Amino acid sequence: MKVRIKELTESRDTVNKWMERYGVRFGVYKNNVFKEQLFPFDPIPRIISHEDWSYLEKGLKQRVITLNKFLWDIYHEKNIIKDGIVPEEFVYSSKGYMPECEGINPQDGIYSHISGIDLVEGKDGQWYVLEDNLRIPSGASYPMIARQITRRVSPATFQEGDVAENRNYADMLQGMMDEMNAGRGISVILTPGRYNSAFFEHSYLAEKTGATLAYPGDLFVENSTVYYTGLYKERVRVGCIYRRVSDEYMDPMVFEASSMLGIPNVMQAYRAGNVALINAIGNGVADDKGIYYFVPKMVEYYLGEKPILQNAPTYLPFFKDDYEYVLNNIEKLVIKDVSEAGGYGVVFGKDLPTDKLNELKALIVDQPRRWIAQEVIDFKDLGILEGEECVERKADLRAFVISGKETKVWKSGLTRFSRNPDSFVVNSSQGGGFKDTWVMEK
Amino acid sequence: MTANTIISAKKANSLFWLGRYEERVYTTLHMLRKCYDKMIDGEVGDYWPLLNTLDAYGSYQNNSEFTLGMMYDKGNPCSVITAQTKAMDNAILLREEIMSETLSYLEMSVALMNECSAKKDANIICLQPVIDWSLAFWGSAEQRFKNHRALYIMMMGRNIENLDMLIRYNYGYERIALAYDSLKRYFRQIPNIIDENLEKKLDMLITHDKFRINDVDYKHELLVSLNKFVKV
Amino acid sequence: MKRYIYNYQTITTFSKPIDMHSFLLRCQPAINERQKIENEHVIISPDYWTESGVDAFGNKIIFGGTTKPQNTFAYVSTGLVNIKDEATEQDEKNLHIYTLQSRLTWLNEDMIDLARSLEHFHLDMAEHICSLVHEMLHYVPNTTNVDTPAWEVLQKKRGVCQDFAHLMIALCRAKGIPARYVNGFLTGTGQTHAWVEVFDGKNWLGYDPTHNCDTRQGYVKLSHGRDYADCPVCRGIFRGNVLQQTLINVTLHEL
Repeated sequence: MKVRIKELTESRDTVNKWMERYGVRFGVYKNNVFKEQLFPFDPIPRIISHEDWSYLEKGLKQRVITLNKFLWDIYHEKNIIKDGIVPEEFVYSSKGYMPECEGINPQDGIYSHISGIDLVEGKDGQWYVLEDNLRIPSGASYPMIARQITRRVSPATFQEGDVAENRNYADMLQGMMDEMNAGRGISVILTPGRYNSAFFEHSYLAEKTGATLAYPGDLFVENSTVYYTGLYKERVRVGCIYRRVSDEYMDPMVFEASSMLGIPNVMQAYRAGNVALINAIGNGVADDKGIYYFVPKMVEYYLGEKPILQNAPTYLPFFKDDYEYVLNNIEKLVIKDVSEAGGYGVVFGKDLPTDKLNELKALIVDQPRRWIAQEVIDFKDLGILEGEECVERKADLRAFVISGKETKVWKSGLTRFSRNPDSFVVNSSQGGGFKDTWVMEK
Repeated sequence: MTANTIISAKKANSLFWLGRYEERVYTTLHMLRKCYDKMIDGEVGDYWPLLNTLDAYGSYQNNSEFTLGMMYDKGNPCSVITAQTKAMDNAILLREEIMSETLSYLEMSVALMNECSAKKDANIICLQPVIDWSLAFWGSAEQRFKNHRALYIMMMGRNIENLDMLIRYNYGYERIALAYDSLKRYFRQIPNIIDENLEKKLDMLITHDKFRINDVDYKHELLVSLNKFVKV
Repeated sequence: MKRYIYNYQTITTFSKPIDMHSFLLRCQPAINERQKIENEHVIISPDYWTESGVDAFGNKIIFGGTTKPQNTFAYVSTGLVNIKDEATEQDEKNLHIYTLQSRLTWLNEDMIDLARSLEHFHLDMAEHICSLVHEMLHYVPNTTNVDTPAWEVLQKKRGVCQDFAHLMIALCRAKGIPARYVNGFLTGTGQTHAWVEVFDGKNWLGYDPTHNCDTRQGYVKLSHGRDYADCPVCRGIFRGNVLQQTLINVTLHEL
């Protein structure tokens, strides 16, 4: 594609203006003060060729189907542990493992209904999975609304008609919610409230799917059935809750006792099969940084297939060979703290002075289970507009996979980039922006 | 999926206050324009009556401080920017009821007001788009609300705010009776939303015979009853 | 076999009516190889919906709630239970979760050192830890709360039965012995009690570090979990900013 800088700059400013008009923001806490920021949009799309997409689509389906089987297994028979594929320490000491979910049978056996798989493309054209997000992956609303706006701002760009539609995300979501609801009642999106960083997304998805946006206190349980309650204490049954409240706050009767964000006794309704929770509770055990290492092995174990997608080359100091390798090559590896999230627990060996490296080594020697190490992938950079210039920056791709009765991959995704030319971290809470992701139909 | 027609207590409250604050943006700008007009050839302190009528606190040293303060002072509960921000705070909770298109008029108003405030633009004409967007907001709401009860709750807020202003500014019987009628159109559509005793009282107070807008006690009773009238 | 009559009663009064009260109780004796229920009744304030079930740890639960404002919440659990003194529970379900430290038993440096010092050979490590904890800690009420972790207990060297249990569990797990927290009744105390069960490869054996003894006589078990947080007798939540007063009465008597 020929990059026409002038038109793109103009369209960038117009699109960003429209984003402001629609309140497309995300919230951040700085020094404990809540602030809303616009999520800066870059108009140069990431374009994924038809061939690449066919490969990714197959691989993503395979991976998510596998992860759902793994979650079922962990909360039921635990065959994968018995068969020695995944060591039990990695499962049971994971923060995301919830013994309270043992033996619960979610609707149709699905745990991860909405999966956000983070990928990067290497310079060699090879795609690598960096992370699976199976709890509350957010971000689909941004490319959705960006597409809506860019089509309006520069219709000519889309006239060729080869870019796959992405505004159907809401339909995919709604379809899956309907299946999980199984006609029991209304579907709601449960938000912790407007001071959640992704509140825009919660309310926008509610609008686009026709679900009711429920706030803490709007839902209650009676006779193991969940109801949405109105101004006059009238009620309507809830069959499906797309909850954007994290596991530990969902039920003060079972988890965090002081939580006012959750629904008391919802776990009993869930266990009784009277309500679907999207995503299921306890998924954190499968998107744990330590468990990530085992996903390709899981694909072979559960499906008897060769894994299509590759992990970034990863080492677990927990294993003896890897332990030696990590300690000897630490200066060229990325080290991730399994016990932390949000991009802060990620350290690049090359950035550390010798004393810090030794400190880190000592920590690894002390608690090998707490760390994973990865080779630094030479990302393919993407062009972004910086002022009126096109510059190259690191970017990743969060692909969204929706699992209802069928597992479907959304033909788009959230491409995030880092503003800082030296940074490999593209987390939006650290000041990056996003791009639309175009999947080519031909 | 079953459609939901129930409005939660929290949303009803937001709808009501969205209606009130958005109407307050409009009426405050309207009153300010009148006041600023008077101040062109008037004296220092010509704004005091307006400030008193609004129960406002805060002290402004001169006309230009007052002008800027009433438009952009976030610490002044009667300023236009406060009303607009509060309207937005309620509206943001209601996106899926009122739809993004409708919400966007408020987003634009907030953005414009912040911009003008940063520039300290004291000419009220710079806020004309806020008035235009406010009217566009009401029009869009009427068209796009899927749940009519939600629309009526918001319109009750709007009409109560309007009535409140008319009473504060000692409008005549005809205007107030008409505004009360308009309010009734909405609460008749929603069972149990108002306090029936207060309705009886308002019915009695807003009659040709009883109407005494210059009587402090009468006016006070009217305002108190009106402001406690809706149960959200 | 021994026969016990038990009666557990809680009455909570609120200074103002509370709204949207929900609760979850673990107030009935467990059923297992040791314990058999001959007769039982649970009475809960009217106006509440209630259901019963089993939680993920295998405990009997009763849960419910009400949408009507309430001034009082009361419940009584009473009945007859038969206990085979020499029998043991042999449940291996979810054994793994009792081998890892949980939130309230997390080890700090001092505890790791303490666990390391227990190297010399003991025929029964659990029994040894039980007496060690008993000797190290002083029983002093109101110095800790339900959220006090074991490492803090070790620092303060005092606490109540719950704290004794947490410290013993933490040390057992540190030595590779699966251990779990138990809630129940003890004859002659007038309140609920907490102790520990350790797994010897086949059987769950009860130890009471507060009294430095095993739990064959006079102990009736209600529930178990990784630590206190998994199995409190009552959890509840409501709306309203009120003062509350709770009266608890426990009777356990051997017949």
